[in-house]
Amino acid sequence: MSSNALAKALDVLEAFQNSSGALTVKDVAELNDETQSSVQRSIYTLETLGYLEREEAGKRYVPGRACLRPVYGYLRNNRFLETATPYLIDLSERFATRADLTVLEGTDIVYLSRIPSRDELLNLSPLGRRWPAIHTASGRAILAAMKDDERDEVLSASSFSKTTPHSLTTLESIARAIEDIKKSGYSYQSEEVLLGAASVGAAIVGTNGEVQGAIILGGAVEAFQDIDQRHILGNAVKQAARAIGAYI
Amino acid sequence: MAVEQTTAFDPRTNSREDPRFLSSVERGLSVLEALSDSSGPMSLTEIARITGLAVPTLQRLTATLVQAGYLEKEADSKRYCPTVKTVDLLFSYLSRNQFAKRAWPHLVKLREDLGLDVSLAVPSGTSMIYVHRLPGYAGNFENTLPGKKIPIHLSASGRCVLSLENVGKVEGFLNSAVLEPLTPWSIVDPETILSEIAKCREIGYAVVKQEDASGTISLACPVTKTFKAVAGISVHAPVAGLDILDFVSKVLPSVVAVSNALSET
Repeated sequence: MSSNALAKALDVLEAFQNSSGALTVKDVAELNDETQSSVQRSIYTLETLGYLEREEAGKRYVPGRACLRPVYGYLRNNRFLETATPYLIDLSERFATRADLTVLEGTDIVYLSRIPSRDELLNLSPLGRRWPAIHTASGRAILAAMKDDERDEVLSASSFSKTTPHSLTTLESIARAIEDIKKSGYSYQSEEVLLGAASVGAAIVGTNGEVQGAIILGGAVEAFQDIDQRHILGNAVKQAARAIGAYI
Repeated sequence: MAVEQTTAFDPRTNSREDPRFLSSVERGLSVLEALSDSSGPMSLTEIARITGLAVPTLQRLTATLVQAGYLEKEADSKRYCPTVKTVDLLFSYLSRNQFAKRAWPHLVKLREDLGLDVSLAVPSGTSMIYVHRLPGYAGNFENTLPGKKIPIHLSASGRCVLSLENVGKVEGFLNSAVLEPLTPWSIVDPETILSEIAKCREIGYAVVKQEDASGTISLACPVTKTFKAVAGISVHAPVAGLDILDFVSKVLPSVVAVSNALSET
């Protein structure tokens, strides 16, 4: 048996995750196919507990500061992230670039950590952001390191729609990219996720043979155009990923 | 067992006595809260001890949280831990909170300028919660994580927030709350904390030495909106071998600059 009121409240939080901007009681009721009075109670409770806040003290709600809390319990006990963090800091310093850590969730990659560089392309924290795995350097590195049947499962569930005009959109082109990664040991994408941005990535495989996630170095397209330079960055993530994998 | 204590330094005015308030939601979310305070997965018995809830109630609540994807149960130990889905909650906050978005590039620059751990924290009840944390060149893992909660009176950011609150309200809180130490250096005497807060009010920043984390010194400035502190910007450094006056003169101008850039009068 489960708790109905709690389930409904979690659905309200889910509605915010599946939409953008602030929402009114009416918006949430429509999104969740619930009555306004039921949603009103969930929202009143979530607001009291800090999981929702009013935007500019008006009638529109946004996720509140209590939403920052549950992730702490997940991140602090994540041995993979703990092992990788000093390597991310080191890579970011050595190459004056940003270093990120991601994990695969379904067909998406999710950002768990970013060590930024001063020239941040994106002026916002990417923690928790999701992108289609097939278009990202980290996602493809993870796919290349997976067992064939597991990889096929992710690929067949993936949507091949374009994230940008440069995104690879056919199974064949993704398969070729994966073969390249198996040869070089690192992945590369340019402007497939964000215009102007490129990255190299490598998957982290634990001592149990399971793929744990990936690290990437990212920045402006220009920093990756020179093949020799790209190779230096690619090899650096590859080596760091191996070193991290040996500890987990 | 409440998710928040009732004395609040943020502007929420809702009441738990209101008929719209659903206590089963509070109980369920207190399970996530208990797991955030824990250094590992927890059994139902352990969660029961922390939250004060009965095991059958917890079975129902954890089932709902597992179903919604926020918790998983370890097959062998039967203990619960939060899942990667909790990151979605963080993202839904960070991606919609205009203040958190505006602050991020300033923190990135502050970290580059000083090479030290930097953070942004907001008040929540009688605690401060970290919104952004960026590790310096020697930063350790624990100091890179958002979502950590610290008692407001032991945090440099928190003392900045308290310095701009109504003095009577702060006195009332400090004199009635049980002030538990976090480290051997935590100040737990209300009078001493009040004089630290008064000092912060006068000089515009707070320095906290090892009171919230052993081995660490923090300097914070408040971020204000219409003369109230809505957040604190902090810089954290290892305290060993550090000359405090040097540290303050080195980091203060940069922290003040960020605090000015983010404050709205």
